Parts: sequence; C-alpha cells; structure tokens
Amino acid sequence: MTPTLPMLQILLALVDGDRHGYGILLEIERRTGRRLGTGTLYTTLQRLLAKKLIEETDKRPHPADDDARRKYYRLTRTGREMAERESTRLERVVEMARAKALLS
Amino acid sequence: MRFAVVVYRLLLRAYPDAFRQEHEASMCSTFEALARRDGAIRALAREVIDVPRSAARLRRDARVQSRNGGGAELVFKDLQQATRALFRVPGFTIAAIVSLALGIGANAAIFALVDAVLVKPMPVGAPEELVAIYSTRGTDRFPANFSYPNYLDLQDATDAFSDIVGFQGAPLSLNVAGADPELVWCEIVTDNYFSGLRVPLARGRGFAPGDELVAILSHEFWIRRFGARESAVGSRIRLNGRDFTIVGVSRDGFTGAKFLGFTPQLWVPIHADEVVWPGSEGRLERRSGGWLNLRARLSGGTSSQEASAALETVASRLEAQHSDVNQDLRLHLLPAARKVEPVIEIEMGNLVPVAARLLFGVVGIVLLIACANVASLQLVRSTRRRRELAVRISMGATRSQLVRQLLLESSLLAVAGGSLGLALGKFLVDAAMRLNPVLDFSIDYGASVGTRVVIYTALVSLLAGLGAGIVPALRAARRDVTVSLRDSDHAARRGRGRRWIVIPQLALSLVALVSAGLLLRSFQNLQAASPGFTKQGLLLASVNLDLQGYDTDRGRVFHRQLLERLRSLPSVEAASLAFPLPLDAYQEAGRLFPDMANDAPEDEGTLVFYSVVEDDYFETTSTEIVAGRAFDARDDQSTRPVAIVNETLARTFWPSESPIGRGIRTSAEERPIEVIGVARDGKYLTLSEQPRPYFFLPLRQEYASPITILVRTRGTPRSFEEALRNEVRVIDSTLPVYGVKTMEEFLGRSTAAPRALALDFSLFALLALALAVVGIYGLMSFSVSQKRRHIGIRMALGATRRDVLALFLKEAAEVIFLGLAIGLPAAWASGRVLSSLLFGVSPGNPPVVLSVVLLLVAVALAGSLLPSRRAARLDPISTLRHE
Repeated sequence: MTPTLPMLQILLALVDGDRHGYGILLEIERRTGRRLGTGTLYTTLQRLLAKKLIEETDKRPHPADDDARRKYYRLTRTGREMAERESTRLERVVEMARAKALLS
Repeated sequence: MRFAVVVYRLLLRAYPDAFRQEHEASMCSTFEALARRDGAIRALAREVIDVPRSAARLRRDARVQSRNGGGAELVFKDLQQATRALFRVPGFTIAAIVSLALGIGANAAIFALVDAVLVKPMPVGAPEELVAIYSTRGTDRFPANFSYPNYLDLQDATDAFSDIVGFQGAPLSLNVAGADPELVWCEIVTDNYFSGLRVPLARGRGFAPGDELVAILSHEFWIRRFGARESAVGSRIRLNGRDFTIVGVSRDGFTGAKFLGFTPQLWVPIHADEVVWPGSEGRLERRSGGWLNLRARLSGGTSSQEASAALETVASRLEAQHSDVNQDLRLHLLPAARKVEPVIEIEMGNLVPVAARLLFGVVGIVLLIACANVASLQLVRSTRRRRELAVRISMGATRSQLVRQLLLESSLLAVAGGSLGLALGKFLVDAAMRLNPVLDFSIDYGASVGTRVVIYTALVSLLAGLGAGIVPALRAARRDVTVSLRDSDHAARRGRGRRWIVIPQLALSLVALVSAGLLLRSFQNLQAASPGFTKQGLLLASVNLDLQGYDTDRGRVFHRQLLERLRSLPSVEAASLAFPLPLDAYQEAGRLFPDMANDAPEDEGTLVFYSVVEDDYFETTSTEIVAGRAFDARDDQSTRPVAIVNETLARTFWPSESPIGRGIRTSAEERPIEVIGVARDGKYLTLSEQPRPYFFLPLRQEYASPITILVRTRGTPRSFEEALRNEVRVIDSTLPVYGVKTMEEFLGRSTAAPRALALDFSLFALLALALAVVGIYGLMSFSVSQKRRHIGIRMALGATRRDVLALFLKEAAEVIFLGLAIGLPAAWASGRVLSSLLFGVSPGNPPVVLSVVLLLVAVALAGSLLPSRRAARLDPISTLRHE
C-alpha cells in the first residue's frame, strides 16, 4: 500500500522521537510550513494505528509538563520500514524528474 | 476560547462514537493549544472544514469496509455532495460567500457596538436595581451632581434605596519605588461604593467607614503596574506625595460606575479628597456646588415610581432645611442598569436608541441585499443544473431530498460566509475601539466580539442561509420549472423585474462612493491645512504640578529651572511652556472687550479662547509675530499685565487702528491688559474652522497647572523623549510626565474623527460596491442563461461572437446607466447633507464625482463581462440541440 501524504508526514515526524498529537502537528508545521487540521491529524493517526504502523506508548514526560488528556505515539518497526520504503520511492521519483531536467 | 471549545466539541460529533471515545480528549487538548497559539476564532475556522471532511472520509472508509450505514451517514453523504457541488463552481461559491460575509460582518460589528453600549448590563450585582440620581435647581436645563452634605442627607432621608453610592473621576500623581512616576486616573468614592454596587473584590477588602489614605486597584492596573503580585495588597504607594496603603484589587471586568467607559485605574475613599483633589479643602463640608455622581440601588420591592415620589419629598425637605443653596431643588431618577450614562439620554433625547435602530436598519438592508444577490446567483445555478436535478429525480430522488440538498448548499455557504463575516466583524470592532478620542485618560466602551456576538452572528448566518436558499430550492425542485423556463417571454419579463434589485444597489454604491470620496478629500485637505504653527520637530509632554503639591511660587521656580535646563541642551533649538495648546481637547475661554472710554461696562463682550504661554512660545512653534513683540522676561508680575492678540482679534476690536498699546479687559473691574503684539492667525479649536479671535497671556503673569512642555529638537522629536524625562527627573524625581507625543501625533488626534468618518464611509462604500458587482454579475449570468436559445438562433443566423458580447454589454450598460441616473442626484443630495463636515471640497466636487462614476462603471462592466463572454463563447449548434 502507498501511504497518503499526511500519513507519511506523521511517520516522518515520529522518526526521531515519540510525540503526542499536538507535537506531531507542530513538527509537521515546522518542517513544511503547513498546518494539518486536527481532524485530518487524528483520523490519519487512527488509520496508522489500525495498520499497526504506529502504537501508543506509556512513556510520558515529567507530570509537570504533561497534560493527562494527551496520548503519545511511537513508530513501530513496520512503520519505520514503511517510511523508509516510501522515502526511497519518492527519491527515485525525484531523480527521474532531475534526469528529465524538470528539477535542477 | 471556552465558546470555541464548545463549538469544537460539537463538531467532533461528526465522528463515529468509537473514534470519539478514543481521541476526543486528546483532540480537545490539541485544539486548546492551537486556540491559545493562533486565537480561538482562527483555530476554529480551520477546523470547521477539516473536521467534517475528515469525518466524512473516515465514515466512507468504514462503509467501504463494512458495507453498512445509518441515518447520520446519510447526512454526511449529503454534506459531502453539497461540498463537492460547491467546489465545482468556485466562481459562484466565492461570490456568494463574499456577499454573505460582507452582510453578516456588518451586522456582527454593529451588534457588538450596540450590545456594548445599549444592551449589556453593568458588570455589578443585580444591575436592574441600579438607578442614577440627578438634581436640577430652578430652571436649570442640565442635571447636576451632589455636594457631600446633600448626599449624606439624602442617604438618611429615605429607605427607598438600600444603598446610595457617590463617586467622581480625578487624575493622580503616582509614585511606586523603582519605577517612573505616572499620571493615573482614579474615582474618589464613598465608603459603600463596592458593597453598594455589589462588586466583589478579587483580593483584599473594600473600603470601610472612615478609611482615608487607602486605595483599591483595578484588576487591569494591578496586572500592568504590579505584575499581578499578591504582595501588592498591603503595600504602600505614593499618590500626590502621600503614602496610601493598597487594601484590595477589584474584580476583573469591572471598569468603574461611570458612563461611556471612563476607566479608573484605582479607587480612593472620599476622606482622601483633600489629598487627591488639591484645592478642594473644605469641599466635604460645603453644601453648595455639586460634584458627586450618584448611583442608588432600589431596596427590595420598591418601584422606581415610588422611589421618585420619595425623592420629591426629600427634595422639598432639603430645600426647607437649607433654602440658601437648595432653592427650587428637584431630584430625578433614571434607570442605570447599562453602561451608557443615563444623563446622556436626557441631554440627547433617545438619540442613542434611535441611532442604534437606524444602524440596524442599514445593516439589515445590506444583509437583505446580500441575500437577494445570493438567491439570484443560486437561481442562475439551478437553471444551469436543471439537467442534473432532472436526472436525479428520474433516478428516484424525492422532491424533499432535492430541497434538502439545495438548502444544505446554501447553509454551507452561510456557515462559510458567517465565519468570514465574524472575522470581518471582529476586525471592524477592533478598528472602532482603537479610535480612542482626544483625551488623556483611557476609555473602554467594552465592545468586543464575545460569546453573545458569536451567537448573534450564527443566528444571522442561519437566517441568511435560509433566506438566500429557500426560494431557489423550492423553485428548482418544481417539476414544471423546465416548462416555465422554456417560455422565453416569461423569462424576459422576470429578467426585467430582477433589474430592479440591482439598479438601486448601483445607485446606493454611487452615493456611498461619492460620500466616501468627498470625506477622504476633505480629510486630505485637513491634513494639509496649516494650523498656524510648525508641525515638524516638536515634542510635547505634560506635567501637573498641583497634584504634586506645588504652590504658585514653587511652580514658577520649576518652570524656570526646567526651561533653563532644556535650553542648555545642544539638541534643543527652542523650548517653551503653554496651557492649553491650541487645538487641544480642553480650551480656556473668557469674555473680552476692548478697553475704550465710551465702552459700556455692562457690555457682555466677546467670548474669546486663549492660551497661557511662556517666553519663546512663538519662536518654538514658529508662529509669526506680525506687529509689536513677543513675550520676554520683562513681562512678569511686577509690571502691568500684557497680552498678544491674533490678527482676527485685532481686526475685530480695532478695525482701522494699530492694536499695539491698546487695552483689553476681561471684566469691567479688572485692570486693562495691554496689547504688546499681534500673532499670525492660526487654527485654535478645529482645523476646519474659519479665522477666529484668540489671544495669549504670559505664563510669568498668569500661572497655570497642568502645563504642556514644548521642545523643538534638532533630531527626530521622539528620540528626545528620554532626555526630556531625564531633565524633569533631575528637578523632581517623583513628578509624572504624561501625554508625551510629537506635534504631528497631537495634530493627528484632531483629525482622528474626520479620518474615522472617512474610513467608515469608505468601508461601507466598498461593501456596497462589492455587493453591487455581485448583483450585476448575478443579473447578467441569469440573463445569459435565459437567452441561450435566443443566442443560438442569432448565431445560427450569422451574428458574430462580438455581436453577442455587444448585446449583453448593452443590456448591462442600460442597467448601469439607470443606476447612475438615480444615484447621481441622490449622491448630490447626500453631499449637501455632509457639507457641514466637509473642508475645502464642494458637495458636487467634479474630480471626486467623475472618478467615482468611472470607477463604478468600470467595475460594474467588469462584473458583467464574465457572463457576457460566456454567452459569446456558446456553441450555437449544441445550444439549440440542448434546448
């Protein structure tokens, strides 16, 4: 299966550490300048959970910085493989575009 | 914020229960974080679309997997279909949303303003029990306030009121250790102020009987000046040079008992009056004169009629006991549940409610126009969608399903238009609130886009959605619609009727544009007008020596020292003192007449405004002395009083002679004042005034406090602010410097009202223009859709595309011409009405009218061009076959 763009963005956001929903949203915004809607974010999270590409984690920050309502997510091994595979695939697409001088 | 979260939670209902159980809490947490970061409205606007869309997708996926659906699913399917249908026609969708947003935004803004001034109750306990008490004496027209002894007697004399509280606003010189001194505004209040108004304190206690040197901070001031520290209560501050103990902090949102938003920063008890109001010694014992504003709370079960009757009895008793000062005393009672000063309603009749109704009328019409436009756009669309709808009916869709579908579409438009309108309304209200009038104290009308405005806007949007959607929906769902539409005579007639929705819109936007143009022109003229002195390089600042406990002698020493220090600075070209400055919000005037042998002493004289100025005032402001000399060190208390008059005053009093050496008098008894110079005419009260008489007195002879410091600097005036504060600090480190501004900023305040008016009108004109363009676009689209067959036939008979284009542009031109024909005389009439507000521009100013007409014609033609071009591009064969 090919992940949708928000799926891939979420997977990539989790590559370098566990985050909660808001944290993922901020990370994507920081990297791409675009903010996901909360609806898109959580329905996509739900899909990734269902496909076991991510999972909930019990590790939480110090209670003082924590909001009990938050849930923290972690990339599963399948998720990490999926992110790698998809990134490689996209890299090839970009190379192809370069070869045709579409991109410099 | 809280409201936004409630709405967000409602949106989340779009998701299946299982999903909500899993994610609702964390979604809310994320949304709150976003709302804190981006503002509740922006955050919400983003989610209004995203949540339903993602929910629809989620449900669709679920359906694909499990192949079963429920009732809610159906709604979402409809919603999805409606969204898609709208996305397919972006031009229509944008035009409709913008139309609705303009109409709804104007309504939201007016509602917010009217709500704040007329509807919202005072932020006190049981506001409906509050009344204001005023007094009049004899034939006085203006209601007056109360002396403290009369207040005390009134309090004891009747039990119609459970509490009567008194208060008056006053400036104070504030010193807190380790910070710059500051001029602040307080209310001097009776001890029962907080308990009587039933305003609980957020911290500390209210005033107790006999309290003297204590103060209560406003919530806002506590945060700004004391960093919201708990330790502020119990600490000491210096007010007017005396130590006061802070005993409490008022509740957030309470901004004083007074009228159109005078916002005190702190409250002091009435027994501190002598400290707070220098020169008021003995005022608490004096029965004459009135200074205390009164608010009273009707005691349980007392009606305001009974209370009024009780007041009559009290008035005659007070008159009998103190006939010397209470002669013909009458007491009046007015409801005071709302923030608007009740006495304003006496002075201006019911102007405020009438104005409010008028405003609502205007924005109501704007909304109606917007709805009519959207309805007309929808009709155009539904004629184009005939086939789609027919297909759906033949596939088994019921009429009610179609109506529901179409209504859903217009509701979606209304939701989008409403959200955008709310943002527009918020922008308008914030802009209006920033227009603080020309005063040194702060004003808070309390208008903001809060829950009430959001609810109002939601209701208006709902109405607009229904209003714009119901007729097109019903018509589109009628089966015979195809038949009736084929009848081209019928359609043409309908088209003619429709014109009369658009023509008045064009006329109205012409009127609004011309008015806006005239006002903008007039504002430009005002800005360019010379006030009679230089605007550049001047920095102004004020000090109030009275509050600091200076007597006249110490004050004069301060004046001398400050000027010497300032003038010795290399960056200062000239420095002086004056009060009041010409064009300031506050002006002094005196009766004046020329000192002539044959002048009758009972002559009432001419009311002339004047200013007290220090040496070098004329040099500092570059005001030319056209005859005689300016003030200098010779003109002090040891010599005869002198004055400088302006050219108009000189001409008025001595038309054919030189005024130098002549005398003026302010009363028959006083010594004549010798005129030693004539100053070039300037502007004194408003920038648009005709030349008026004015005179200047030397500060060395006439002491004044407060006083404004004027400095002409070599660099940019703002950069001198710290140096100026520093020089004042060296002489008196506890003296607050306030009202620091450049001369340009100062003059900007006197053009603030014309500027606001011009801006308001421009906004309204743009709104009218935008609506008119949508209107004519809708009209022409409709016309094109009605005449497809006609066009097909013509083209088949040899008409070129150019001919077709010309045909429709001619039709548009007719409509535009009719709009102009009605609008131009109306614009001229409205210009006449505005003429008293105009400066240097005539109501029929040709450049303004001409450019507006050109603008309107160009924009309206552009709006008709789109549909006309569509007509010209029609393929005649397919058109005819289609029909």
